[in-house]
Amino acid sequence: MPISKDLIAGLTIAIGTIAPALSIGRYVASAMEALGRNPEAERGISTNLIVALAFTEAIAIYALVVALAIKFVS
Amino acid sequence: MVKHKKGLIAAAIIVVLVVADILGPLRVTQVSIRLAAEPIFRAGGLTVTNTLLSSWLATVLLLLLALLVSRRLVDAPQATSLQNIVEAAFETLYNFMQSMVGPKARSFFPVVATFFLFILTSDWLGLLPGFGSVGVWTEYEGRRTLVPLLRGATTDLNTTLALAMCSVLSMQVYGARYLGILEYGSRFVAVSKFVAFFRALLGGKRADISLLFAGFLDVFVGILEILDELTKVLSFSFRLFGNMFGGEVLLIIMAFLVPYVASLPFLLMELFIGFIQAFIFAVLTTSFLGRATTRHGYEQATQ
Repeated sequence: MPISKDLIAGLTIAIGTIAPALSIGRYVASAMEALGRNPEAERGISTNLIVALAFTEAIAIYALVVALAIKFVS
Repeated sequence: MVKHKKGLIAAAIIVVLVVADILGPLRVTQVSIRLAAEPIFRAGGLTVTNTLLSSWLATVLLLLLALLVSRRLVDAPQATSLQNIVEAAFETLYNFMQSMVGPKARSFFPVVATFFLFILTSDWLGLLPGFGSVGVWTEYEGRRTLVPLLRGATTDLNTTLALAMCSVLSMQVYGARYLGILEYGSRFVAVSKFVAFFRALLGGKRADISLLFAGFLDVFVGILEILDELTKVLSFSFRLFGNMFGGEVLLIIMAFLVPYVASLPFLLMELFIGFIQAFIFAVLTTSFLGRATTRHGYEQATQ
């Protein structure tokens, strides 16, 4: 199978979102656990969770941007 | 009223969809996705792109909103008046900022709310019909393609980079204003331990060698702090750009694959993501502003 730009773009996004997805899963799991242990601290937990999610999601977005740049910029 | 009103409306919609599908010109035949914004005209030395036009439109809309709301302010607005809606939105954002940085929210609020409102307006404007679809058929980059007149402002890396630079610059200005330039600068150029070491050495007193090593460490950490600020610019701009441009690509592809029907849930998702990204930009700016205006070593959130 010849290595084309499309293949590289597809592989970039596919491999690049494995790690962020796993880490977001870990984040949310621990947030749920903390919430179950201490339902009163919901405000603090939610805030920190959203901010941490933004950081982690940004890494997946970097992979997406590189894939898009490979595909659409000659 | 007519019996089976909902059924008649659903049938009418389905008939319209089928007819529109049969009529050739209404089907999207060509997908052209471009990373860079397309220039529309040149004025002097400035090249005006379609994203620049739409960011001007967002600015004008926000100015109009501000003028409309502030025309006649009353102490007790009615529940559905524009003043009440805007006050509710501002109060929610202000209370959230207060829970993050305490009394400093008063001075951070103008900057953060401006970022939030501008990014939200730009994100949501890009979803309106006409953005990306109304344009001119010209020869662009070798192909005959539709160059849209308006495109969401935040789908352009230039806009998000400018927003990120303004955000990081405002952090430096606030830090210098709150802590004084010397103390704020000592975060990046941490030579205080070196100065203490050499002062003790030249003064003839016994100089603690560990102070020298701690001085080296401080300088290294200071360089890392400078790099931290630069990566903030990168991460802010690419987070917003990636989300918005990826969303735009997603909407185009969905409209191309399954016209009219598949666009709906993705438009809803883009609405939500636009709001979340504006919120995240504001929250992260607030958090970093709070950190920049706190004395070195006391980096706890003040409640």
